[in-house]
Amino acid sequence: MTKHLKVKLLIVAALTALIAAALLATGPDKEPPPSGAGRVAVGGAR
Amino acid sequence: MSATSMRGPVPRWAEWAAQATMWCAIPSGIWRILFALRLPAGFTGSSDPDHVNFFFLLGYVSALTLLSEAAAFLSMGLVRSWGEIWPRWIPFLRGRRVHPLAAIIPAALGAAALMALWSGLVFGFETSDPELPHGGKLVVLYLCYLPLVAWGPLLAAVTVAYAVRRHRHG
Repeated sequence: MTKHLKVKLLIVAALTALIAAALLATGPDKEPPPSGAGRVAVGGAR
Repeated sequence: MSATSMRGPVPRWAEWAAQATMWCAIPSGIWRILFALRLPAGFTGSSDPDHVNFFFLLGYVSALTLLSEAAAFLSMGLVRSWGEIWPRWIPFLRGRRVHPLAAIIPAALGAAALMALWSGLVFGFETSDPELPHGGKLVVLYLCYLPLVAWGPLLAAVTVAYAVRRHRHG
């Protein structure tokens, strides 16, 4: 494997790690809020 | 065959630009594959990738990424000898001179298509759909796809350099 190819593979690996880290750092996927759902009062009705 | 066996010198900037086209699609390809590997990319609800067969999605995005890189690799032909003489493994045409227009027209059309497809990214993109990425995940998606904006202009520049060189040196 040539030196140039090794450097390119290293860059791709680093980019992969960076993007993966960014996706994980921004937290887990959150389910969208249900549309049109009424609010439920916690601790009793008004 | 090497660059030294080409007719006419390839400008250094054209060599770099051709190399750069291959890097334009890398970040988005990586993002796509990580998305298929179920990293939290911000798609939820009906857009959640869990609704799609894991191996099908992974195969699909991998093929898409390979296709993008193969297309980008063709740019290297504009700065390599195989863009002037058909390679030996190509039947019937092997060893023959590549007609300049056979390279210039597809490359120019490709550059135009890429610019039409990706230029809008310069203005950013945003979605109000809560099932699509937003916030930090949208920023990651945007940054991964932003290099694609450069692909079209880079290819156009390399195509012009190729056309000039072929016109001068045959």
